[in-house]
Amino acid sequence: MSRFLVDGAGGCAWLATLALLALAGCGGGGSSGGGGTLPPQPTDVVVSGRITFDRVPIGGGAGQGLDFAAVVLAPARAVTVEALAAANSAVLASTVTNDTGNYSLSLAPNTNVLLRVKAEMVRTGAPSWSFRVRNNTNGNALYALDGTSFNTGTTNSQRDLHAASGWGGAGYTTPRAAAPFAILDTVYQAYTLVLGAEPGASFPPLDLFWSTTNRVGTGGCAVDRPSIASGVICTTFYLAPVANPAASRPDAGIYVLGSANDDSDEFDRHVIAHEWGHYYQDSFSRDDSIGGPHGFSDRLDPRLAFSEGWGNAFSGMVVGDRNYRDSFAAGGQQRSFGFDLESNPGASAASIGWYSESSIQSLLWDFFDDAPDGLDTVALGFAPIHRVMANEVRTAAAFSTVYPFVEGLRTRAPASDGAIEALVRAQQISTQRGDPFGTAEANNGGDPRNLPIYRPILPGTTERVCSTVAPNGPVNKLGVARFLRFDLAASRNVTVDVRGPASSPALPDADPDVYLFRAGLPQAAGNAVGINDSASLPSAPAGAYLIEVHEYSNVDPPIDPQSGQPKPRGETCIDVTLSAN
Amino acid sequence: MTDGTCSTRGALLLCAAMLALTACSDASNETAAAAAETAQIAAARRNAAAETEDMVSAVAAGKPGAPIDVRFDVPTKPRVGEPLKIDVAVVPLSTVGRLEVLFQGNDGFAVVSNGQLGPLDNPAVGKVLRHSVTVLPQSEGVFMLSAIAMTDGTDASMSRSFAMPIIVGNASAVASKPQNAVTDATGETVQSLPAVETPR
Repeated sequence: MSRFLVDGAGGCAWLATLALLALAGCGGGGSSGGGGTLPPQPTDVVVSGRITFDRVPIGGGAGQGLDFAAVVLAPARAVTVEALAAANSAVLASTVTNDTGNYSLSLAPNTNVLLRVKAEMVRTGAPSWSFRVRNNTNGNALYALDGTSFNTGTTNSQRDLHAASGWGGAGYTTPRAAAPFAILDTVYQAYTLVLGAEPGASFPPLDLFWSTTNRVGTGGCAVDRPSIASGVICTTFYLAPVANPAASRPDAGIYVLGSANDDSDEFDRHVIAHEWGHYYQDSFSRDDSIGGPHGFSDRLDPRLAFSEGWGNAFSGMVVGDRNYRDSFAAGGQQRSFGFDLESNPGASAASIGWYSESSIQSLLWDFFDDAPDGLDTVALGFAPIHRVMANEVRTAAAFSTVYPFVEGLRTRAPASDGAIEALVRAQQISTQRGDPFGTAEANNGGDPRNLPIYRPILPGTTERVCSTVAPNGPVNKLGVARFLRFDLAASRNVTVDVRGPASSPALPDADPDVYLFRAGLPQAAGNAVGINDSASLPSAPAGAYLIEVHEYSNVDPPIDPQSGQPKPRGETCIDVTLSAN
Repeated sequence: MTDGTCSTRGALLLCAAMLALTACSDASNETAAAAAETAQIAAARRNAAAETEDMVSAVAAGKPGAPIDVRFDVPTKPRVGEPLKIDVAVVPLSTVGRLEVLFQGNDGFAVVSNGQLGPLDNPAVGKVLRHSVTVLPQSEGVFMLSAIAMTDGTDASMSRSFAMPIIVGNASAVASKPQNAVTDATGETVQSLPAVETPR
C-alpha cells in the first residue's frame, strides 16, 4: 500500500513509517492541526489525489491572445492542502503537493471533512520561501480552493480538486478559480530557477495581489491604499518593501491585473516573471533604476535600461521561452503583443548600447540561452548570472548598470570570455576589463557630453556638467542626469554644492538638484528650489561615492500655460563643487 | 523598477507624469515665447511631489507596455439615452513608429462614434494628441471607457490599456463589500473559490 506524505517543495516523498523524521528535514511538510506532525495512526485512512488548475495559453500566432480552446490541465505544485473538519473548519491535517500536484493526507476514519487548497507556497528551513496570492479588493484575503464535505469512511480514497478558469465560451461565467494558482505556478518556475543556482536560498516573503476587479486606470495613474482596495492598480507592477512605510502606502508585493474586459495577466507568465524579476533583483541583488516611461527605441538612463532589460530577459529565463508575450482584450477579441529576446539590436538600431534596454535584454538572454545565433556561442545558464547579480552587481560602487554585470560575468566565466566580449562589443558597449564604471566607453549616445559616464571630481575642485533633454528626451532619458565620482581615502565631512544659471530672456532660473550615493544607496540630497543647492554628509566613511546632478524641470517638466505642453528647461549646465574636510 | 530607495525620485516622476498630462481639458494656441517659471510654481510642483510621496506611480514600476499616456475628460454630465462626448488626450512618452488607440465601452455603454484614433506614423514625443469619443449610456450605473493604445516600433509591438470610470445617473461608485471571506483556524482571512471535485 503506497501510503506516503508528499512535500512538493523538495520533491520529498517518504513512506509513512518515515514521515516523522523526513518532515523534520523537509520543512514544508504536513501538520496535524497543532503545528506538529503526527504519523498516521493504525486506524487512519489515507485521502490522496491531485490538485490541478486550468492553464490558459496564449495562441501561437503573432498577436493572438488567450486561447481558451487549448487549455491545459496543469498541476498545482508546492501548494498547501488542508483537511478541515466539516463541523468547525478545524485543520485536521495538512501537507503540500509535489511536483505533479499530488497530495496525501492521513485522517481519522468516519470523519466528515472537506479539502482546502490554499493559494500559497510556504517552506521553512533552508531553502525557505513564502509566496501567497491575495485579493487586494477583499481585505487581502488569501485565495483558497475549497472542496465539498465528505466522509473519510474506513478505507483509503482518492479525491482530485481542480481550479477551473471560469471561461464560459464568450466570457467568464463562473468564478475564476484557476487564476491564483496560475500566478503561483509562474512563481514556482521562478524560484525553481533560482534554487538551481542557490539551493539554500532564503526568499523574502512575497504577497501577490490579484482580483477580478484589478484594472488599469487613467493616464498618469498612481495608486495608494484606497485605490488599491477598489481595484485601480493601473498596471501589473512590483512594489518593494520599505522600512517604516507611511500608512497610505500600499502593501509591498506584486499587483496583478485581472480585468477581463481589457487586460488581465494571471495567465501571462512572462509578465508575472518580469515583475518577479524585479522582486529578485531587489531581494538578491540591487536595483538603482529611477523608473519612468521607456521604450526599445529610447536612449535611457543606464540604470533604468539595465533594470528593464533584466526584467525582460529574466522572464524568458523563467518561462523558458524567448518570446515575451502579454495578452489583452480589445474590441471583444483576445489579443497579445510581444517581442523576441533573441532579437539583437543592429548597428542601425535607434538605440544600441549601454543605455538601451533592448541591448541589455538581448545580451542577458544570449548569456543564458543555449541556442547559438550569430555571434552568440555563450550558453552559461542561470547559475553564473545569479552569482554576478548577487555579488558584483549588489556590491558595486558603480550604479547597477551593464558594466558591473559584464565585468563580473567575465571574471566568473573565463572560458566564455571571448564570446562574451564579442557579444558586448556588437552592442556597442565598451569591453574594457576591470572597468565597472565604463570609463573606456566610446559610444556617446548621440551627445559627446554623455561621456565619461562618471566624471571624476576631486575635493576642492569644481566640474561643470550639463543636464540635457536633446537629443534623447526628458525625465529618464540619457543626458538628463549626470554622474560624477570621487573616492575618500579616510572619513571626511563631505559637501557637494551645485549652482545653475540664472534666468535669461528665454529661460527661467535653473533648478539643479544633487544626490550623493554610496553603493547605490542615497546618502544625502539637495533638492530645494533655486539655482543653488547642496548635499552634505558629515563623517562620510572612506570609500567610493557617486554624485547625481540634474535640472529638476528636465526630470519633471512643468506645463507651459500657453501651449499646454510639457516644457523642460532643456540644456542646463551646472557647476558642481566638492568639499571634503 | 523598484522604488525601494528612490521614493522621492519616484514621486518626482509621478508628478511629472501627472502634471504633464493635465492639459486634457483645455488647450490654446502655442506661443513661441517661453513663459518664465516662477519660484512659486516650482515650489508648488515640489509640494505636489511631497504630497504624493507615499503614492506609487505604477507607470514607473509596471510591466512593459506601450510608452503612451492617455487622459480623459467628460465635459458634460452623463445622462441615460443621451450621446456623451468624452475628450481624450493621448501623449507618446517615447519614440514609436506607429500609434493606434482603440476605445471600447461595455454592455449598456457602447461607443457610437470615433472609437479609434489613428493609426498615426511617428507621432512626436510629448505632443498631446486630442480626440473625442462618443458613447451612448443606456442605463444608470458605473461604466468603463477603455482605451487600448498599440504601438509598433522597429524592434517590437507594444500595447497599454487605460480605463476611466463614468458614472451615469445616480449610481454609486462605492466598491462592493468583501465577499466569501472567512477567517480560518490560523487566523488567516480566506476567500473561498469552488473546486471541481472528483472522487476516484
